[in-house]
Amino acid sequence: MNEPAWSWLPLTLVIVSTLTLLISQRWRWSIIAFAIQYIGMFWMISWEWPIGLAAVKLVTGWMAGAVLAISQPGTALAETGFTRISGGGFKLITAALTWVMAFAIAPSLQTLFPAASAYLMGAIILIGMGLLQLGMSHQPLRVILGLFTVLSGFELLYAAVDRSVLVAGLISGVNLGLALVGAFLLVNPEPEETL
Amino acid sequence: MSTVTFWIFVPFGVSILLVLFNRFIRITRWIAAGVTLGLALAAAFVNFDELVLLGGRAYELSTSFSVLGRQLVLNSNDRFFLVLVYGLGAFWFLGAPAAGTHRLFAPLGLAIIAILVASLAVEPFLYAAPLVELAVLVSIPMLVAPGRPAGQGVLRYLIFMTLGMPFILLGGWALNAIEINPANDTLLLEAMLLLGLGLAFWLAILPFYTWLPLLSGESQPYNAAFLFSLLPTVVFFLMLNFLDAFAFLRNSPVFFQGLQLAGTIMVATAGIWAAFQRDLTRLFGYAVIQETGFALLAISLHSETGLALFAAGLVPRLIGFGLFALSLSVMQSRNVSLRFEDEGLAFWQVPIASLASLVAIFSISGLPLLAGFPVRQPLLEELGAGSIAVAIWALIGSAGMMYGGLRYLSALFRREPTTGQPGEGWYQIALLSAGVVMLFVAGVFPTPMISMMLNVLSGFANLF
Repeated sequence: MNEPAWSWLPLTLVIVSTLTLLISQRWRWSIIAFAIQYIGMFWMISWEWPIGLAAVKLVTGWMAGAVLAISQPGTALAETGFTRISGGGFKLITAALTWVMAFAIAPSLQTLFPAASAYLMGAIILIGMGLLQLGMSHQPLRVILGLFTVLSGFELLYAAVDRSVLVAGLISGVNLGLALVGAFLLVNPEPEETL
Repeated sequence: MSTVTFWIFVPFGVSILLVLFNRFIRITRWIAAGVTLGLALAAAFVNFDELVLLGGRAYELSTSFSVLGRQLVLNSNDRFFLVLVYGLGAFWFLGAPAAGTHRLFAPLGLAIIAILVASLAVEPFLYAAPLVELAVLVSIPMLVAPGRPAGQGVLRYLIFMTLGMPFILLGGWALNAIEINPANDTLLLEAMLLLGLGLAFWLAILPFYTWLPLLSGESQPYNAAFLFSLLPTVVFFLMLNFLDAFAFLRNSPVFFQGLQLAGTIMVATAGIWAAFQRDLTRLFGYAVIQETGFALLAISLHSETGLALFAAGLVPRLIGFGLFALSLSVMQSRNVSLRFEDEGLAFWQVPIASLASLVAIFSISGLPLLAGFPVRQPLLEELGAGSIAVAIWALIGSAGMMYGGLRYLSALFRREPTTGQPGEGWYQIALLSAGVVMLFVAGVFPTPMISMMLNVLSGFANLF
């Protein structure tokens, strides 16, 4: 399949945003990176889907980001297991390994998924970086962001093979539900009372 | 009027109302119990193919409902499944006052049941994956009590269940692609791999079961057990749907060998860990893993008998989990430690709950005269006929669980007896005693239970 023009640009957005999500200790940067990640994803899906349908992904992602942003406490991303420099360095190395893996296996995936190479690289990087995030953190916000990243990668793969409006709608519902669950886990509501 | 409206939209609507009024905890529990019991009875007695007489007028029940070009279908074949699922809901909601569940349990539990029924009703059923994921998301506030932080078990549960959805969706796509191109062996292998991974995540099959003992330890046992009994039941039925719909899948020996291997490892490892467990909540987690393993082993037999044993095992599993979880919740509500070293004291504080949990453990491990035995014994016999090694490992797993029960029994009677009133309330005593009696009755007279449960398989016309 032919590579769309400027295909490296959304791929770069995905790489930079997922790396920021993995390393950042500040929630504002993470939410901005999360929003940029969805721009990259929307850009890529627009190669396969009509713009209107692809925009559903962008709107859903941004809404989820907004829900998480308004419900996070200031310490939601604070890590206890890593020091700042060594932890960041370790994460950077593992992220680099994920990029290498994505560049290596994306061409062979083209036999299964009829999509451009940059598109498949983006999907694999999202899945890989999301799994790294899930494997390295115990914080609810990081876990939720990691799940969103994995699901974004999967949505890219699935969009290449299926254009069902119902599935798109249900997955958007799942994304919004995940954001609400994230908000619930972060807000930690008031203690139990019975009437 | 549509069956979909009655058995999906009505309970879902009621659950939304109950969420809005969740602070009236006693009322919401009884309404949820009443609605589920009513729907279970209606499914048992209303024939979907005939006119329904209501207030002197006859109404026709339509069995499908269209959403965005897809169908939700609940027809006569689904009646016994509806009885099972809504009966299961009524069973748990009726026990909620005794277990002292938090205010979101009944409203969200009802919503979960409605969503999971929708996941089995949607056609094509490949669209079930996002619905199951929605049910998982709804279950999170039920597992994390208001005002408490989420533990590792809940986060792992969320991660593993969410990772299952993409695999099922992609597996579904691959299955559809195979129907167009049946000669493509690579695609067949990929479809089985993707579906296998998706089901492994959803059913907490080895190695994705680490969250089970964690979750049973950190959430309220009763809430966790509700999910442990409901989610696997629905996912098993989804799996049977896959097998029923795709001939190449049900004719694939590799798929059933995989099920058998996973089931054997789960039964054996859960039994071995249970034998050395010193915490009742974690023992409960291992009991859940073992029950899932035995269900996989029954399906892996790839025969009518195996399927019948799977269906027959649903009731002992439900009663066993319910009784075990209720006992643990009663003990927790009385601030009784659930660690073995403190159980000597526990027995004299909450004697009925302690004994009920013991009976539940022995039933789950397949002790004769209890509900688990009439299903476990023929299952081991069938497994032995196929592979003696598998039967021996399954027996080791059962023995490990039983040994865990015996260690608990020894811990219970470690202290000198003291006199005093039982710590349980009358409703708790009534439910715990009823659970124990039901396990004995189902163990001594298993035939009616087994023949009734075989009806849930009526929807799978192509299986075996």
